[in-house]
Amino acid sequence: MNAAPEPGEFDSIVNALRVVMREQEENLREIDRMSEVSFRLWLNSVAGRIAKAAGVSLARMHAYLGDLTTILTNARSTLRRSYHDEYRRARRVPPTSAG
Amino acid sequence: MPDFIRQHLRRFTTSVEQSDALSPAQRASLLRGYEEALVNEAPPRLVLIGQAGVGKSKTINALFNAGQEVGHSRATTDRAWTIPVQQVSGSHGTLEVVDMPGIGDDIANYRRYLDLYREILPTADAVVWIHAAKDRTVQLVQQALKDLFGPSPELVGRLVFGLNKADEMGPHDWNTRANLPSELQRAALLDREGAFTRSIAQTLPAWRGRAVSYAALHHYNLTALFKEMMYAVPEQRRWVLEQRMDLADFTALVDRKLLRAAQARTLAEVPAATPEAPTGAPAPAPGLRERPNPERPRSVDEALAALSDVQWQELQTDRARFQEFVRRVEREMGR
Repeated sequence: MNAAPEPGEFDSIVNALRVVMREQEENLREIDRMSEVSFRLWLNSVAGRIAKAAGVSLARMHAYLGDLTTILTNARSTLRRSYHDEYRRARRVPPTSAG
Repeated sequence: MPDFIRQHLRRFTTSVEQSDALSPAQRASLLRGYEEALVNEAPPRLVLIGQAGVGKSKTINALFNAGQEVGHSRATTDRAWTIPVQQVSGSHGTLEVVDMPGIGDDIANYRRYLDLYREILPTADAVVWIHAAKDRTVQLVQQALKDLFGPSPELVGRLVFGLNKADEMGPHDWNTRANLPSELQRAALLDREGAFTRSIAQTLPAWRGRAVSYAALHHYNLTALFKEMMYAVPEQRRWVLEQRMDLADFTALVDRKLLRAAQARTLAEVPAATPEAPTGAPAPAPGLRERPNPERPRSVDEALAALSDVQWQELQTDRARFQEFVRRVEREMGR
């Protein structure tokens, strides 16, 4: 083990330690963020299969999943009135004319 | 299981169970389907490349808390030459690890294995190439990259380069008290990361990563290595890797006094959770009234280091108490 640092050196080592600890926290936050995005993508990919097996529409499945990203992605990509209506029914929100 | 997945599953289960539009059979099918999909998702498969003794096993242990011996192996092919896929038990789940024999180690074996390498690479979630930080020779790595990834440029994104044994980098003056490279070592490591990254990018221009220096033995910079691995894994599979993450604690090897001083300064900088300042002097934590060391402290750092673990935990969780403690120590020092 190294010898105990001098007072001035102590400060610089403590600061170096803080920098490394902060970098660690930032890395962990980024890892967490990537994981969550990844999980949503995966969920979107398996939702269709699960819904089909249960005889439930995809829109209803998304409503149960309650995942905004998944819902918006599908709403944008399909733009089908039936999708929106089915989703609202499942969420118990009355359909509007804007569809 | 990470919190967000647990919460998601709970929310989904509640929504399904409360829905009166579903038959009991549909409810059961949905819940079963979701849970089966979660459970049946294949474990992450990591292909490891690197010379013998470069620290591949130590790296896996440090990233996934996989202290157990490697489990059973199964052949990926029934040819005479095979590459075993090892089932490794980490503390948060199993992963598959393929140790590519011969690459960067034994030219004769490398040539014989080349076709098998090309078969196994597309099955990898990430290809982790481990190199000793102090080793400047990259010609063999470059040649192998051309052979392996030249015909499969779509796999380049799965490559991660880890420069292990950062502690052995010149001038060999790792700070064991802080568990950090010295300033000179840190500068040398940054140079090496840059040079290594450039040499890989010259060989594989499509590769967009960066080489990461770390020390598996000292648990140093493991988060940076893991982050690079996450980038390399196909997007839909990243959560599967993160689920298994259990990084060895870097701070466990840091001198207690240094660690507390660093944590205390960070604590002093972080804005309080509630914007309004506490009125009046907050009562110090009960255990803090009788500090174990009756001598007058010479510095705040010293006073913090003298606290028991319980006292330190109490201070860390209450910023007002922490500030009061620091003020009190400063008053005592000035007396």
